[in-house]
Amino acid sequence: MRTRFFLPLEVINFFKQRELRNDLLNYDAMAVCSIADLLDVCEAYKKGKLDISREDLHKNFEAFNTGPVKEGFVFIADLDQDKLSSALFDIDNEVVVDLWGEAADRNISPRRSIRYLTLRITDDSVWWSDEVYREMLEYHIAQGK
Amino acid sequence: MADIVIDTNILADLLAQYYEDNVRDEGRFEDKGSLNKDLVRALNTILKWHLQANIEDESSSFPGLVVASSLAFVEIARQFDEIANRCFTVEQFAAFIDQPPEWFFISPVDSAIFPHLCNLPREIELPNGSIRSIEWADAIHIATAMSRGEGCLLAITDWTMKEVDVVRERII
Repeated sequence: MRTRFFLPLEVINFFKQRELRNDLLNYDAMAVCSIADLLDVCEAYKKGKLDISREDLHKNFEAFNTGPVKEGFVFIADLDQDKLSSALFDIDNEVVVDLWGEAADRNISPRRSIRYLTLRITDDSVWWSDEVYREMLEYHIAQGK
Repeated sequence: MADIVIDTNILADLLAQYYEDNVRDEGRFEDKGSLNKDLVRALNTILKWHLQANIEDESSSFPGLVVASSLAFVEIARQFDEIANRCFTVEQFAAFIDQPPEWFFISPVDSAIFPHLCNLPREIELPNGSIRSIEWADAIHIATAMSRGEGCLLAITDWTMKEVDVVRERII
């Protein structure tokens, strides 16, 4: 099964209309969602971009977890200690060489750093393809960022 | 037990003392930089308990953990030279993340903080009547503290955050 980047707009659309794209529903692909994009829904809500009530926001969060996530359509990539330890550094032969410059960059937003770190292919523990990371970068280019 | 969630600036000062002042050996923080007296007292209580291995002493109640969100480490990395200020190296920073001391917990940025993040206001009104947005990173630190239960304290350098109702009673 193909793995792909779960676009920020798709997260927003789920919270607005509880919709998923057909490639996921048809089991053609599984999407990987950075936790940065899930948490961004809170910002979108506070800025009035979702046009739903607080109650619906919480209900749709539950629906996201018990629906697409639990059923395996969408995987949420968190930033836990293990991921932080492997993704935040350039490592050569198990030796830390430096910080990973792509994420350790003050010229990008913290949420973008989180997005890079969570989706980075670091070692064998990351099971999704490098397409996910590449599609995320393409998303940024398309956004003009 | 009361965990203490610390923000990025406090984490940076804690790491500087941990590596510069041999906290590892002496087990004692000092009130300098962003570490105030109350916070240092609470930190040292936690350290003392863990260093004396009171785990086996049932009469000694668990004092909690020092907690930082993984975002705090990312924020330090984003401005490493400026924040670390030669007080700790990239290698020491990596080692701390890989194997933090037993009294310290790196809290994940995960969906557990989502409900708490949503419940925070977007803006706060300061005593002088001006309105200020809550920065995304500050909101994550606050939500992390809220996700760890009612007793959890919050050590944060931006004191305007105490204007947030749910923060006021937790600040140390």
